[in-house]
Amino acid sequence: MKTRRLGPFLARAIRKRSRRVLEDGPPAIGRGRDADLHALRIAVKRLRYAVELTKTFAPEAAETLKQLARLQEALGSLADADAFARTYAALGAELSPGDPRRPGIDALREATRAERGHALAAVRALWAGDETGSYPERLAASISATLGSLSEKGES
Amino acid sequence: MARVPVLDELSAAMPLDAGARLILRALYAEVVAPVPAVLRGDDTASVHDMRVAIRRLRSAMSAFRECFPRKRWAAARSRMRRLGRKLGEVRDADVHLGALRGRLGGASLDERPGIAAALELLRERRRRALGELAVELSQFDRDAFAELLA
Repeated sequence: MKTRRLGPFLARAIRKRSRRVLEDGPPAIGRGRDADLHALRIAVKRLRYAVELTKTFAPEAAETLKQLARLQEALGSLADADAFARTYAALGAELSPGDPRRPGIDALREATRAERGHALAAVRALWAGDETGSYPERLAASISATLGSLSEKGES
Repeated sequence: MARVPVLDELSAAMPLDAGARLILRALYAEVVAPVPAVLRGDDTASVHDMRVAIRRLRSAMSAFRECFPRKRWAAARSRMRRLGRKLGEVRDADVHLGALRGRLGGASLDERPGIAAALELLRERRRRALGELAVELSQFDRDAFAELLA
């Protein structure tokens, strides 16, 4: 029986996980719903962790990791805002209209709503990219370079 | 940021099973290293490191599932998931507390009671979650991982 090698195996895992990010990214970012964005953030992390495992023998992985870290960070700010908003909503629901704590909770909810808006705009801007290319195009290119290296080095 | 273990022995051409065990052993070591600091209670960086280490380990376990006996893999995964969930509750409270503390200084007098209430709620959540995490860690079966990686 042919011995299976680590490089090609990780290449398959990275291919599968990157497909998820590249396919789920546009609808999640376009709609901006917290459940979709949460799922996308998890998919980005899973891809990043798989790519990290190749760092020792695939120097091309460094560029992919850099790009994934940027997206993960942007999505993380959004996830924080969504988590904060849930806490404030629950707190606000327990308070009567005249409760002295209400102005503070209302102010926090308003500030968090604004932060979420900024965070979502930042994610969309990152994904859209600039004149040199969109984020998914760059990510796909760098993943492709990593995969090529893994397949070559895993052959023996 | 939690450390990514350096695995100089890894190579793309190494047999899959040997590589999977090497990776999981190294990632598991990163999970257990911060435990004493986490249990001291006030080390938010260690909580973060351990949470990320668990995510890395769970992600690798998922990728290498087919390299391990199904029952042992499932038992180890389930334990790690429970631990990750408890740790996540502590970390979420830490992140939120960090963001909220900065707001108190710039708040108006009207707003302060509400912000103070939110801070108290989060401190209480953290205390409770840390207590539950300590129980989970005391029951954590390290042998499950030793068996899996044998």
